[in-house]
Amino acid sequence: MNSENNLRTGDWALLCQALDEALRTMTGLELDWVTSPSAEVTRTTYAGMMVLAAERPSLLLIRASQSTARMIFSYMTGEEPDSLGDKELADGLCELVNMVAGDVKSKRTGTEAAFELTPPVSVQGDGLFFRGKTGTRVEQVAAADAELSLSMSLFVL
Amino acid sequence: MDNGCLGRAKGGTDLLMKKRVLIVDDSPIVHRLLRKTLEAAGHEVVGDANNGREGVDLYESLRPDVVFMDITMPKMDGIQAVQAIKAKHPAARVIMLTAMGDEQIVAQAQAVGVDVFLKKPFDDYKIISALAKLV
Repeated sequence: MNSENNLRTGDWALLCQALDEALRTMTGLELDWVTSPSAEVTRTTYAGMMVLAAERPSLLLIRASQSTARMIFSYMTGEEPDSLGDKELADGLCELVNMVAGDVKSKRTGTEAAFELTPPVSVQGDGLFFRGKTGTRVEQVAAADAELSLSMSLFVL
Repeated sequence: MDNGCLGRAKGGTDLLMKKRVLIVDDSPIVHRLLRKTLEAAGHEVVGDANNGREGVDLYESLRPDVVFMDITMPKMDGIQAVQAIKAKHPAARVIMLTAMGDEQIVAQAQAVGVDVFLKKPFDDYKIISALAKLV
C-alpha cells in the first residue's frame, strides 16, 4: 500500500479499465483516452461523483458535455438523444461512476486496500471547474475532440 | 413459474417464454435500458419501482414472474426487499443487478434467496440469459 494514502498504485488503472469496460459493454463505444495533465474541463455539463471512503478518501468524478452524455445514454437506452432530459443524463453519469467504482471495490474487498462507497451525487451546470487544493493528488483521463468531451478524475483528498 | 406458461394457455408458442417483469432500481436510466432490452426480447415490463419499499408493494399487487432488483436504494435496500418478498412468496424469482459484486454482498444475496446475481455493467445478452436461467 502506498504509505501516503489508501489508494494503491494499481487502483487508478483498475478504475480506467472499469470505465472502458462499462462503456464498451453498455454502449459499444471504444474511446481513445489520453492522460490529462489538468483536472479542469471547461465544457462539463453533467458530472457524477462518489467518495471512495478509506483512511484517506478519494473523490471519483466522471463528467461529460451535454452532447456526449446524450450520445452515451442514447446508445445505452436506444432512445433518441433529444428525448433524454437533464434528470436522465445526470442520473446516467451517477450510474456510470457507480459501476466504475463498484467494480474496483469488488476487486479490493478483503484486501488491505478495501474501501467503502458513498451514494453517488450528480452536479449539473455549464463551465464547471473542479480543482483540488494544493497537495491533492489528481489523476485524470479524458477523451475529447470537437464533438466529444468525457473525462474521469480521481482526487485523492 | 406459474405465470410463465401464460403464453401456452393462449396457444401462442412464441409467447411460451414471455415473462412479466418488475424492475426495482432507483436509476431512471437503468429502467429505460432494462425496458428496452426486455421488451425487444418479447418480455413485458409490468411495473417500475424506485426503491425497495415500492418494489415490495408492487410485487404484492402485480405478482410478476421475475423481479430485477438493485441493491443500493433509498427507503429500503434490495436485500431487505428480497427478504420481504421471499418471506411471503418463497417461489418469487429475483435477479439481483448491482454495481457491487464483492463476495460479502453476493453471500448476502444468496442468503435471502436471490436466484441470479448479475453485476453491472451488463449487455442485452447477460440480461436475457439470466431470464432464461429462470425458465
